[in-house]
This record gives sequence, structure tokens and C-alpha cells, in this order.
Amino acid sequence: MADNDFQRASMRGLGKKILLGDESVESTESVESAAPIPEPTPDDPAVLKLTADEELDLLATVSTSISTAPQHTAPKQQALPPPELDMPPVANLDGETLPLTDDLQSLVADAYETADQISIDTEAIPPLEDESPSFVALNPMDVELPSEVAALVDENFETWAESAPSPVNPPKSEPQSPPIASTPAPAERNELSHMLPLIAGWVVAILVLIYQLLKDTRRDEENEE
Amino acid sequence: MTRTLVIANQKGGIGKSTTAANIGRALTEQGYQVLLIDLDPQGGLSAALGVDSYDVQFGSHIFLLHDSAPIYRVSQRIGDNLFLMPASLHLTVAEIQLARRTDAVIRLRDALERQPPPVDFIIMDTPPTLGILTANGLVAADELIIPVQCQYLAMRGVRTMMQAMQRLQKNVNPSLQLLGVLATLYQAESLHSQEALGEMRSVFKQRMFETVLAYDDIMAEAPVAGKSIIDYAPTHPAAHAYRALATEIINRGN
Repeated sequence: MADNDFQRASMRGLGKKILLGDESVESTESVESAAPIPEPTPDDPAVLKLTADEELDLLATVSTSISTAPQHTAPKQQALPPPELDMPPVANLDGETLPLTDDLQSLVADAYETADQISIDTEAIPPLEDESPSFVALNPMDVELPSEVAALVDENFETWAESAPSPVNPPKSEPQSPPIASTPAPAERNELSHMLPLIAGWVVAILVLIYQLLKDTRRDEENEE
Repeated sequence: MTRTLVIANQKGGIGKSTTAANIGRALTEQGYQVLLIDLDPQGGLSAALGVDSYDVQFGSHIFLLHDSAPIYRVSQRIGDNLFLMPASLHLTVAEIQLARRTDAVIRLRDALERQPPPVDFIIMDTPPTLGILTANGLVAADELIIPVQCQYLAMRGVRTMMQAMQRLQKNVNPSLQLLGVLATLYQAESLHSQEALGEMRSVFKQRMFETVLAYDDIMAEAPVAGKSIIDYAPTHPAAHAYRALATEIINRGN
């Protein structure tokens, strides 16, 4: 393929339009002026070569084709039925009126009534925990790091805690105490919540035992009397 | 004062992650402490520094979702003065979960304000979309770097990025500023590339970084070794380019 069989598209002068979308920028050099297309020469293989007789035959063929071609005429327009102006008007959203048939009116009315009843079923949206348990379980406070890994992490980052920002580069704001320091860790909270039923069970059992002991003691006393 | 930078452009494959990794590394060469945050579920930044996002258990997804996640637990030391909060594939799920929260786009900003890391620079890499993860980066940052490949189709995305920045400036993060537009993947022998760079410079003028990152195979090779270009090929022109870019970033902040 020849190297110059296309006109190179240039971006010169289009930067603002491309980068910022400024439509007011007109392309003055959108297509770089390429070398003029050369006139075909008799030796050019793309040029059709005909003898005089062949040219006459070709002309005759074309003339015959034109004379026998069907005449194109504009199709007759069928008369459209006159618009029915006595239809009941229905107000559209813009306050204008549109003529609608009774069927259409009832359809519209149904649509409005249905639209009022549409509501979002929030219960159909699964809660976060149900979507990806494996991901939710990745809370670092719930996952125990192996001791050697935890030690390595802490060792790597001990400088973070120690290296207070230099006066030249103070942090953006005063460092706050980590939120985990003021609130129990989720793991601790989970442990407590699991212990509560157990403790309640033990308390009830002890109360029942005491009641039974008191009852037995009283019965023994009555028997002795 | 900690400077918080975000590198964003919704066009993919234009060198965002490579730029984040190497700017961070170049800044540490000049004695700064840097925390890199990978917000792209594809984990390009993490991979460029030798951390496989398929193996990441504690990363930016935890930091975004759990208020109590300590920052030092979700980050790793990558080198002297260089720390990385890597991306995990779970970041995709995190984005879905964030979408249901009213504070979806301010999660990262709030988390960094609660636990400001003692570093000089925070640099965030974002996914090639304008979704919640990118928005978190744009809201948490003060300065935006837009890398743009020197190519027509890549340049078309800059407009959307600028509009996103303006909207966030107006509604959520008034402190967000365009630090600069960075020409990447430049091919000196390409007339198209030359024109693209010329047009970008004519539009953004002084907002264009003088440093131009040329296309080079070294950018694809260095991540294979899990190293920044500065560590992989310290004397390579690309390494020098990133050093120059880091200097520009430092100077623009002064």
C-alpha cells in the first residue's frame, strides 16, 4: 500500500475542544493539507482505457438505459382523514391539552394509579452481612494474626508511632486517639454478648436450688412437728 | 504539613500506577516519608511494588469499610520511608458496599483525618473509572495529578476529569486543586504524539508538568521484578524523569 493514500488527521488547534470540550473552537487545520492528488496519467493502471469503438458502444448502451428507465414520479399522497376535534382533551404535563380517545384516557388514568402504588421493596435488598460473609469476616479486629506476623507488622511500623511529624512537616490535624481505644473491640463485645445467656442460666439454676432447699427444710420441720 | 495527592484519569493504561509508585519512590530518595494508597481493585500500584493483590488480606478495602481499622495494620513498609496500603480484589466488593452508604465518598477522607499518618506525602492511585473509589481519592486529596497519554482518544477523557474535579470542589472538597497535567507514554518519533503534547501545553500552559514521561519498555519490565523503576534501573532515563517529576511536585507545593 502506498504511504500517502490518506490525508493525515491533525490535532493542531483542537486542543481546547478535545481537552475541555470548548465547542466554540473551530478547526482551522483539522486536516493537514496533504500533497495534491496527482492527475491520472495514461499509464496509470487505474485509468480505464477504451478504443474509439468501445467508447461509442458504451455511449449507446448508456443512452438506451436512460431512455428505457422507468419514469420516477412522486407517489400520490393518500388523503388523510380529517382530525377529530371533538375528542375530550386531557391535560398533559406541560398544561397543554392533547386530544385522547376514551381508551387512551383510561390507560393514562390506570398508569397514574399504578404509579402511586409503586414502592421500593427495601427488604428485597440483602443486608450487608448476607452478601459476602467471607469479606465481612475480614474485619482486622475479628481476625487473629499469627503472633509472628503480628510481631513483624508491629516491628515494621513501630517508627510510625515513634516518628512524630517534624516541625517543618506537621500533620494536617492533631492526631486523635484511635477509636478502638475508647470502645471495646468487636471481639470483646461478641464475647460478652455470648456470656449473658450463660450467666442468666446459672442465676436461675441457683435460685431454683435455693428454693428447693428451703422447701425441703420446711417440709422436714413440719414432719418433725 | 502532609500533602495529599491523588492520581486520577478514567482512561486506563496510561501510567497512573507506574507514576504513583515512582513518584513515591523518588520522593523518598529526597528524604520524604511517603504513604501510597492503592484504590484500584486491579492492584496495579501494589503489583508494581511487589505486592500481589490476590494475597492481600489487610488493605485499603478494610480501611474504607471499618472505622476501627488501624492504619498501620492495613499498610506495609515497602522501603525506607515508603509505605503502601495495598489493594485487594475485595476492593470491588467494598465499592458495592460503600455504594449503599450515605458517606460513601468521604470514607477515606474521614479515616485519614481520624488517623493521620506521620508522613510528608500521601499519594493515592485510583481505578480507571469515575466511581466511588476514585471519588474517595478525589475527596481525600488536596492536589490532583491527571496523567494523560499523548494520544487523541486518551486526551478526550481529560474533560470529564476536569468536570468531576470542579463538581467535587463545589460540593464536597473545596480544597482540591489541579496540581498538574502529566504527559505520559510520549513517543518522540510520532508526529501525532508531538501534536498531542503541543495541544496539551497550549491549553494547560503552566499547569502542564515540564517533565514528560516517554514510552519505554522499562515501565512494563520493572513491575515484573516487583520494583519501582528507580530501584530496578536507577540510571535509566525513565528513573531520572520520575526524579525530575518529584522535584517539580515538591516545588509546586512551596
